[in-house]
Amino acid sequence: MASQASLQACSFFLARLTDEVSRLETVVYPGHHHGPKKWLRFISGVLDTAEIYLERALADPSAASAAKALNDAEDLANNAYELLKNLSGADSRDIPHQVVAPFQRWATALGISNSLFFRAEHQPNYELRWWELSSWATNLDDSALTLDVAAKNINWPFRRLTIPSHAMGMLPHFAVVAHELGHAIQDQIALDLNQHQAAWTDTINRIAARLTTVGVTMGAEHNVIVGEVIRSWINELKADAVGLLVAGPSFFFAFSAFLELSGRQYGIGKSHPPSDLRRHHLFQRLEDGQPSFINVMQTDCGLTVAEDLNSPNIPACPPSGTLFLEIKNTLGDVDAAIVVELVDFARVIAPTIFSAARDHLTANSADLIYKPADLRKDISDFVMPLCALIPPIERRSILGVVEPATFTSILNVGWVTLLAKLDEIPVPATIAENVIAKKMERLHELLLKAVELSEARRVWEECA
Amino acid sequence: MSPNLSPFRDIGLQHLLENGLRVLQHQTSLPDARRVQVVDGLVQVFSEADRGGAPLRSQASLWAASEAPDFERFSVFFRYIKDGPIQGDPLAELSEAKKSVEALKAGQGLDDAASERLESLIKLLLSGLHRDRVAAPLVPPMEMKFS
Repeated sequence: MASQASLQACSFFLARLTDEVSRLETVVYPGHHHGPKKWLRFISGVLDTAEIYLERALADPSAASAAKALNDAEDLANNAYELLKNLSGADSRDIPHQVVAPFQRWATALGISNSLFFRAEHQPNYELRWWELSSWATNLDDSALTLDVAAKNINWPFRRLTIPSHAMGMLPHFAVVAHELGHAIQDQIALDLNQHQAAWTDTINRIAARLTTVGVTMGAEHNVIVGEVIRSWINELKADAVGLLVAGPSFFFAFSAFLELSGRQYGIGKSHPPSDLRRHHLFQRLEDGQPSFINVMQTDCGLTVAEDLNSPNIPACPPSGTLFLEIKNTLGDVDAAIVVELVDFARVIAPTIFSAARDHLTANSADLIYKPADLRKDISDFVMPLCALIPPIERRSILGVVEPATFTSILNVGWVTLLAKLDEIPVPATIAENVIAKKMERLHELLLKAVELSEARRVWEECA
Repeated sequence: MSPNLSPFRDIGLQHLLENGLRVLQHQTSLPDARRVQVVDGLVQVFSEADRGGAPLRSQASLWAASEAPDFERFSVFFRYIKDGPIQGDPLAELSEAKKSVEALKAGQGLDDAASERLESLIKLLLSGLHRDRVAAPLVPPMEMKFS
């Protein structure tokens, strides 16, 4: 049986949610991106299904099945509310509309065909989240036709890319997005760790021994946690590899700057391996090859890149015994014991993971890989003009063809200028305070203009 | 990073499992087309859970990557089974459930023992969903205090 009061409350809840969805459907999202509209249509279908359940309860409130129908309607309304919450920030002016199309190009070039939307939030956070709700919708009893249609029009899993809002939204920092898109293809990167079997066996033994010190015998439930943690860490290292391969040094600098600005912690947990380990591995990859990225930055613009160039305060993880004592109160004995003993294994497998990611991109998105030769050309073509306030929009090839600058080129030119040439960016003589911030703001505006105009040129060429 | 709704808020999964019980109890109120859909759904979730648990069958390959939804499906089911009254190995229970629903999909009948075992497992999962729902705390008030 369903009470009249609870039926009324649910009815009001659903009506208000429907109003909210209708209002949001009239919003123009940054870059005229259609992702949020697809998401809203899906929510609308969920609400229509909830309405069906509610009507069933209203038809005969005294029936035994009415209470369940009402509860299901309430639960679906809460699901819709939760789904709506996930759209928060998608209409934000904090997402520069210029970057939406380049982000989408990266996604497409990586073979990511899923439905996608972007949003910003007031947090130092880059995140790729996804929802696989197609079977969820199918499993619902008596789902509304609108839900079925909306679900079929989405390429699941639906992905949402979060970037920090205005305060951390300087263009070169958006190179971190390449890492997040790496998460979208992490399961496609085939990884063979059999060569590390001995190291793994040793790791498991050390975890068991560490657990023993806190009175725990390793069992199946601990294997589940170990599986969850190592899986998450591997995925982070895969995404780091994709970030570096796609965005080059700009990813290293953006990632390091993000860690420095967002908390300066060890970074180790069930979801992430230690930050210093990740940064060290990325730096080593920048040193690979002849010339390496590090060589090019040194010889072509005088920038000496040390591992901690723009992240000097990221703490180095201490040895496992000390680390365990430091983090066990935060993570708990079991999780702390597991993560500290996984660090060495993560260090051992990081190069293998990078190779696997490179093989995957070489086979599927070879044009997307940024190389030291690309950086050399970008520095040569764009850095000096940028210091004279000319944005890196396009370049003339040796055949005389004008080519729009890529988003990756703009990001790397941005970082090189930021780290080596910021003094040369002029600001009006009237500005006496916050000169560094003003120079950076000016650089950001020039780069944003380059992103917008190079994209416009690219679209124009595609339409020609 | 959870790719789906919180499991205890997953009304689709709840409906699927409830309908699974109706299939096992031969209730005629479920239309044939829906019955097919339900059995397909059960095959999907138990296959996901079985695949997700595969790396755990051997401690030597815990790092073996399985698809994200598989592992998460397995983690949730594993927790519900482990905390329940079933005495068997959760991995074996999930494998057995997968075989049973595949047999249903193939139009083969289940013997009484297999049917009861699957029914018990589904009830256990439903009670796990219910337990998570009622045990979920309210969103705590935020407090900021620097001292």
